[in-house]
Amino acid sequence: MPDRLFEDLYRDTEGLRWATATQVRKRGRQLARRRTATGLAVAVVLVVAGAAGTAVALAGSGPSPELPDVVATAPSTPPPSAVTPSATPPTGGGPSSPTTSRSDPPALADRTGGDASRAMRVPADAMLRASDLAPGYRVDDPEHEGDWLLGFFAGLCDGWDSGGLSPVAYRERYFVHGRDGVQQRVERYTRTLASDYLPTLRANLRNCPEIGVDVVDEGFAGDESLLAVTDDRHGWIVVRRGDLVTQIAIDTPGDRAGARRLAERAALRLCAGTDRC
Amino acid sequence: MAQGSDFEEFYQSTRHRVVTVLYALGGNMADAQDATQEAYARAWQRWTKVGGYADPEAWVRVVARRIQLNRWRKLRNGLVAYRRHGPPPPVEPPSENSAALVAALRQLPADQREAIVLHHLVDLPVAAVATQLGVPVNTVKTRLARGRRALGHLIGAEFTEENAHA
Repeated sequence: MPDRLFEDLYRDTEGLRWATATQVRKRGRQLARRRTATGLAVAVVLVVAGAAGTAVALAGSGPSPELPDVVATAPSTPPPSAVTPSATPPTGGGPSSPTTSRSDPPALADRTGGDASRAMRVPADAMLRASDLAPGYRVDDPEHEGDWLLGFFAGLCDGWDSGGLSPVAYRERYFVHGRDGVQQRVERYTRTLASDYLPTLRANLRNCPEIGVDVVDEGFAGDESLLAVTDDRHGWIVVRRGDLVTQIAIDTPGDRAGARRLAERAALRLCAGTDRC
Repeated sequence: MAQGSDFEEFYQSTRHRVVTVLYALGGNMADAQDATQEAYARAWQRWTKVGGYADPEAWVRVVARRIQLNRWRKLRNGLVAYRRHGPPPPVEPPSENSAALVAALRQLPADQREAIVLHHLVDLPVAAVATQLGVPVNTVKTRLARGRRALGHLIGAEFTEENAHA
């Protein structure tokens, strides 16, 4: 039995209206389908569907909404900045150049997808490693979804146009340190679409001031790059190199120098997956 | 079919405890239910595996807490709220005692709050709390002692003896 002090809490939560088990199972199937979904266009569709989602809606009789995702849990000590690089930088630009460390993730920790042939898949070496981040970060389990992607949030804007951008392959990796997290997704596009990616993104952000995401820095890494920020806890680094585009979600976007350093590392890592370095 | 009925029974028999834990930890009923509901959907996704765990409720509780803490989810919900037309549906107000307790819990450091809730609300033994939080037993005891002392100051709370749970 819980402590007497908490009995009132249990009473307060007794009368909640819950989704039926059938609705929960349906939602589980939606999540499973979403795991296989790729690309900006798909993320936009999901956001539009999810915009109607609230706890009340799910608990009621309507269709199950898209709901959010898991990120790291809990410890109490605030970690250092997510974008403060560790002492050992990558050492070059080629596929074999990134350094390795004991904290580097196994390939199985990544989430991958897309219909690309084996040769077109995004290699694990094209991803950031824990050693690229501030000390204390580790690779998290692949329990997450793509709700953190910039396109997912920007899709809340009515004027958002995906521009038909859809990657042929992608790989995601997640890092955590206490409550903070860094998420990275690398997508491979056809060469034409890859060069359309950042211009499309910029145009959409310009056309969607209501979501409050601003481009605050550009041209600092790879072939093209930008830093987009919505508040002091949510920012996105986007870097393109050749036909690869990476998005990195960071939680200290005010640290512009740190964001630039992380972007440069990511751009170097991308060289492992493209011949455009 | 059996798998579905197992899940349904699990869902119906455990959701009240899980949502109460999240309410105590986060202080917002709608947010707690949203995260709880999502965690059960994820449990169903993996039910073949999760249903075989010794304590699937603990799995749901941890996943729900992670969902509750997800900063991206909070951002998304804020944007959705921005777009939503009309006021949110009415929510039954909490009782006076609950409101005071939740407000007091919110004033505790997160580590003490988690320990207090898991031990005194979920009724987990200290060793199980330590396992769930990934910290030594003595650390849990320290957090409990400090958390109880702080709650005592804030709302005059009196707790049952720790030994009764340990």
